[in-house]
Amino acid sequence: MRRPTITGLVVVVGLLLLADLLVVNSALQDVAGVVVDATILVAAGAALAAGAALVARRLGDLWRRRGDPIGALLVIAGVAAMIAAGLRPGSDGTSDPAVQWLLAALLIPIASTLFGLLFVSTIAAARRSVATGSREAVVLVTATVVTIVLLVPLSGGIGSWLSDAGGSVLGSAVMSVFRGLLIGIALLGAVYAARTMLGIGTADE
Amino acid sequence: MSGLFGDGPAEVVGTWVAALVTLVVLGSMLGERRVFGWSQHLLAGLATGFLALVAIREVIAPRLVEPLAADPGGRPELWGGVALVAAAAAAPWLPRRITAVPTSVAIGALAAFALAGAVVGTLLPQLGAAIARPGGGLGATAVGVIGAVVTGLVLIGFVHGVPRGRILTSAAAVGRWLLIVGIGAWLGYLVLSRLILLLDRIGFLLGDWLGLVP
Amino acid sequence: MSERRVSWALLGPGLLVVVLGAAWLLPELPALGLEASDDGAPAGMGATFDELGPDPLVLVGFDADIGTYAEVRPTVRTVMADLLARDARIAFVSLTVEGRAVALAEQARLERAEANANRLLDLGLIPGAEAGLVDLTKGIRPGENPTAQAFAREVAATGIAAFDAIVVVGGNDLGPRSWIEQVAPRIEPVPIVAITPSVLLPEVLPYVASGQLAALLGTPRDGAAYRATAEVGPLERLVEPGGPRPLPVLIGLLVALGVMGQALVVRLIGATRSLGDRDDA
Repeated sequence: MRRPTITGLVVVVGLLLLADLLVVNSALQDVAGVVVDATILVAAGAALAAGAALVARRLGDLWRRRGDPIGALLVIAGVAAMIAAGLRPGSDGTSDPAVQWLLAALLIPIASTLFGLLFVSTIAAARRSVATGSREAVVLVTATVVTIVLLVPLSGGIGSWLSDAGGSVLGSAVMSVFRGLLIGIALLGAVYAARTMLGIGTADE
Repeated sequence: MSGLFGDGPAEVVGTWVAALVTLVVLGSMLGERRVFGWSQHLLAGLATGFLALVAIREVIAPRLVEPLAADPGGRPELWGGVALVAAAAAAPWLPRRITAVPTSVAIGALAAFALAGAVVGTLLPQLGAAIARPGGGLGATAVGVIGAVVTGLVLIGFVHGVPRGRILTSAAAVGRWLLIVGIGAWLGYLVLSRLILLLDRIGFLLGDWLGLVP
Repeated sequence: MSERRVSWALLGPGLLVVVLGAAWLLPELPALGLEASDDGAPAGMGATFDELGPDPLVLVGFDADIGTYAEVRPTVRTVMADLLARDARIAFVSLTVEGRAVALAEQARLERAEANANRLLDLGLIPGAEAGLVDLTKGIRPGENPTAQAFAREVAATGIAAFDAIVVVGGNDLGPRSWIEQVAPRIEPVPIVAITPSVLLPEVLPYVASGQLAALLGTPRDGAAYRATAEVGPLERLVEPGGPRPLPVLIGLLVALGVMGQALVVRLIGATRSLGDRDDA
C-alpha cells in the first residue's frame, strides 16, 4: 500500500485540479496555477534526474569494466557534448548553432533512419505472423494487403477509384472501429486515473 | 530535401556526418551490428543531454534562477520551487520521505488531468458523435447506424474481460474481429508511412549528400 | 535457418535500398501520383485557414516525433508557408523534448530562408506533459524575443486567447488528442487542426468525425494533395521541393504486397491441403 501522506497529497492535488476545471473561482484558479507550476518544475527536475542517473550508470560501467566501454563512453560523450554546447558561457542555449548542429547532424538522422528500417521489419513481422498459422494474423494481414492495394500511387481513373475507395474505408468503417477503441481506452484510462487519484488498489509508488 | 543545413563549412561537415550515421544505421540491415550499437549509445547520450539542457535553459532558468537572481527575497515561493526541483532531480538517491512531495504532486496532477481530459475531451463527445444521427438522406442515416453498431461492438470487444452471457460474449467476439480488421487497415497505412521514412533517408543520401537529385 | 536463407535475409533489404535509390533517380512517370483524389482533407485545412480573417495569430503545438517527422515534414513546411502567405503570425510551443528538437531545427530553417522574423515567436518547451498544456491555458511567458517583440507582448498580455487557431504537429505522446482533452475544454472555442503521421490515425480520425478537430492531414496522400493545391506565392522558398517520389513508393509497396501476399498464399495452400487430407481420411 501507498504511504498515507502520499495518498493524502495525491487526493488533495487531484481534487483541487478537477475542481478548477469544473468551478469558476479565481482563488481556486490561483491555487491550481501554483500546483500546475509545481508539476512542471517536478517534471524538469525529473528530466535532470534521468540524465544524472544515466551518466552515473555509464560511469559505473566504465569504472567496474562492465558491458561495452565504447558504448558507455559514447553515451557520456553525447550528454557532455550537448550540455557543453548549450551551457558554455556565451551560448544561446537550445538555439545555439552548436546545439542545432548536434541535432541536425547526429540526433535527427540517427533517429529517423531507425524508423526507416521499420519498413523492412514491419513487413517481415507481418510475414512471420502469418506463418505462425494464427487466424487473427491472417485476417489482420489480409486487411493490410487490401489497404496497401488501395494506397498504390496510381493517377488517372484507376488511381482515383483506388484513392476514393481508400478514403471512404478510412473515413467511415475504419473510423468507427477506431472510435470504439478510443472510447474504450478513454474509459479504462479514466477508471485507472480515478483509482490512482483516490489510492484505490494501486501498488506502492 | 531535409533542408536542415545551410551552405557554411560547418553545415557541409554536418551533412557528411549525417550521411555517415545514416549509412551506419542502414548498415544494420546488412548485419553490421557493432557500429550500429554504438550509434544507438550516441543517440541515447545526445537525447539525454538535450533533455537536461532544455530542462535547465527553458524551464529552471527562466522560472526560478533568473527571477531569484534578480530579486532573491522578492518571491519567497520560488525557493519552494527550488526545493521541489532539487528533490525531483536527486530522487534516485534521496530517501522516499523527501521525494514523497514531488512524487505526490506529479501523480495527483497527472491523474486529475488524465481523468478530466478523458471524460470531457473524449468520452462524452465521442459517445455523443457515435449516437448522433448524421444529417442527409437515408443512405447517410444507414451509414451512421452501421458506424454506431461497429463502434459499439468494438467497444464491447475492447473492454469486455470475463464473458458474461451468450449475447455479450458473441458481441465481444465480433467486436474483437472488427478491431483486428481495423488494426490491419491501419497497418497498411503504417507500411506506407515507414516506406516514406526509408525513402526520405535514401533521398537525403542521394540529394543532400551526393547532390544527384536537385 | 539455412545458409541460403540467411544470405537472402541480409542481402534482400540491402538490395531493396539499392533498387529504391535507383528508382528515386529515374524521371517522374505521368501514370503515377501520390496525392489523394479525394480533396476533403486539404480542402478542410484550406477552409479553416480561409476563415481566420486578416493578420491571424496561430499557435503551433510542435510535438513531432523525430523518427516519424520525415513523413509529415514536407506538409508541415507547406502549412507554415501557407500561413505566412496569409500574413499569419506564428508562435511555436513544444510539450515534448523530441518535438522541441524538431521545432528548433525547423525554426532555424525558416530563419535561413529569411522568413519574416517579426511574425515568428518561439515559446520554447513546457514540460510536465498534460500539466504543460494546462499551464499554457493559464498564461504564456514568451521570454526574450528580440525580433518579434510586439507579437511577444501581445501573447504575454492576452495568453492563449490571443490565438485565432491552433495547429498541432503530432507524432509524439502529446498530440492532437492531448490538445483536445486538455486545452479545448479550458479555452474559448478556437479551431484546432492537425498534421500527423499515419501512426496516429486511430487516435485522431474520430476527432475529425466528431468535429473536435477542424481539419486533419493525417496520411501521406492527404499531405501530397494539400501540397499540390496550396498557394504560397512568393514564399515558395519555404516549401520543401519534391517530397517522396511516386515510383519508389510504388516499388516499395509492391515489395510489401509481394512479401505479405506470398505468406498469405502459402498459408491458404496449406489450409486447403490440410482440409483435403482430412476429407481423404
